Amino acid sequence: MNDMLTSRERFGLLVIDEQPDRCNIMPLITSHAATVKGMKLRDYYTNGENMARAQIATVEKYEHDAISIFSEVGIIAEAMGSEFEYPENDLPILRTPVLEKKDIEEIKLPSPRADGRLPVYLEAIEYAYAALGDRIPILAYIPAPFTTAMMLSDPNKFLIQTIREPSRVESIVDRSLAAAIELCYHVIDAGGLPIIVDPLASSSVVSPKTYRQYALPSERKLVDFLHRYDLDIILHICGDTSPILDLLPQTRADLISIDQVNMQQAIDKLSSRVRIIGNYDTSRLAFSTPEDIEAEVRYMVEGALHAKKGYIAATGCEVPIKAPEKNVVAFIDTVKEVGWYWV
Amino acid sequence: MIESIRKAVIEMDDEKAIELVSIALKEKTDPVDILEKGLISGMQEVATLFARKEYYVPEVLLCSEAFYAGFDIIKPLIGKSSQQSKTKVVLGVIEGDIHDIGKNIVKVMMEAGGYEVIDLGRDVPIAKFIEVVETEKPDILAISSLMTTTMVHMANIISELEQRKLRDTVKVIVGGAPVNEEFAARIKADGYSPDAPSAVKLVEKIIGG
Ligand code: B12
Repeated sequence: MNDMLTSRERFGLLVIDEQPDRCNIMPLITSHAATVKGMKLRDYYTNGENMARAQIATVEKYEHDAISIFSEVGIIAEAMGSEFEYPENDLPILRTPVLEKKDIEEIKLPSPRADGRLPVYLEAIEYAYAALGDRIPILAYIPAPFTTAMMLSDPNKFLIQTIREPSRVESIVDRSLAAAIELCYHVIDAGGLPIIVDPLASSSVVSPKTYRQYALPSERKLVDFLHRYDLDIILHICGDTSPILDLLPQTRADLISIDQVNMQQAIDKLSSRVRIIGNYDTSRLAFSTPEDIEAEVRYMVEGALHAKKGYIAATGCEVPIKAPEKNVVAFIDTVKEVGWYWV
Repeated sequence: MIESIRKAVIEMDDEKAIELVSIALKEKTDPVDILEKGLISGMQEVATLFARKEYYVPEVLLCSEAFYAGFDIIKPLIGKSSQQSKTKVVLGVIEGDIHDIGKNIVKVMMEAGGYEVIDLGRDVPIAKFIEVVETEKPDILAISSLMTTTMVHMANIISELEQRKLRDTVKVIVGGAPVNEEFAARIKADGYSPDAPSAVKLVEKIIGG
């Protein structure tokens, strides 16, 4: 069947609880776009126009339903002073966290038009919005405060401090929240729809108690800020989140994107309150065959398509940079085959 | 006393661990007993709690601080007599990959298991792994990778070891979320394990057999 709506309309219907023509398809195609465009990764994440062009070329090729502006979760921390190295064909690598050299009080809030690669990011959003903003949502990934806080610190020390020095961690998280809000003003102005990503909040790393203590309140504050603009906000947490599924609606996010969680369990617990996004295994996308992917994606979509408040077919986390294109195509084509509502 | 030392590790109390180990030594308790029945046994319980998802990464890191606090006092007092302390493990996260939380847990468990661990850190270039195998002559080379993009470099390390005729000098074990048994076999690694507690058992098996 052929699409009847634009991606923008399709997303618009979903968030007002109306069924669109078919299921939204938003695999997290981020830096994989550089592979599709045949671009060196460093050229992708250090130049906004390049990033946007690669994203546009990728959407034209795969015909999925979102542009994803993102390179890695360090961007806010970098703009606040953490130092990164830029390998030619790898994502940026954290070298010196700013808190190894300065105190929290000395860390300034970033100016998104000037600091680190935030200008690259904003340029990418603007470029993509000018080209396709009327047809497709331009998702702009915003590292959540708890994750940024770790990227400002030595990760090991930070994790220990979550238990030993709660007031210190709280003040780093607060500062990171202020920085995220600062960035969001500009992202919205440029035409981006903020999606909050909080990998550190994952139960693969921290306990539900730690989640409730730091990550949840700061996610909620960010969502509350964004709701003033009447935007529908996605929250993505990588890895295992089964122990905190019940807590996730408390963030007040409108859509929740899950990774290594049983989909039926997520539907049982969340689908009457939020739209669910997920959660095809990214390793499978990298290493499996189109035939297997088709069978698995079909099973996933058939089970989730009628989740009460709606469903977006996606990968559990980012599509691996070097995932074979035929595998990504298999994912998208399968959803386009089985994901119809208007029949 | 030894039971309280064990408890101090499990309860993440490094000050208590130092205090109790010092008292135990004054009372002429055998340092090997303090180590094995107190500190190491404590970390074994921690490994179980971690596997059961009662403890998460921060808790394990704190327990390991308590473990090291006691271990640092004990270390000079015990000779390198046991089989395990002769086993040397070189551990690192592969090039391009900054995920080192899992590697750190593996390190803690290995040290608690009595192995000597040389930690190369994260984002370690292939050449560095090779160099350290040459200079340190470890029994085990343990490589961690958390991404499908970086795990392929593991195969390059193994073929580089082959080319330099170093492959027979060291056993290579691999791990990290996307790695599995099948992948390990494909790249001709000597072993794989899904988590840190079983990584220790894996080394035991490889060295023992
Ligand atoms: C926390 C996290 C981060 C943190 C890492 C902080 C740090 N200092 O380590 C941050 C936020 C920085 C991060 C960044 C990124 N991340 Co990340 N991250 C995670 C997450 C949620 C948890 C990883 C973790 O720490 N787990 C807890 C530890 C204890 O478990 P573990 O690492 O698996 O280790 C255990 C075992 O595997 C084993 N083990 C580990 N090593 C070894 C070695 C040997 C020899 C043996 C025997 C055993 C063994 O023992 C350990 C203890 O039991 C995972 C999700 C997941 N499912 O794993 C994603 C994940 C690893 N990240 C992912 C990605 C894509 C990224 C980014 C590229 C995202 C981005 N664009 O910014 C960057 C990477 C940048 C880079 N160049 O490396 C993907 C990788 C996808 C793929 N298949 O390639 C994952 C899998 C998420 C997903 N589902 O897609 N991430």
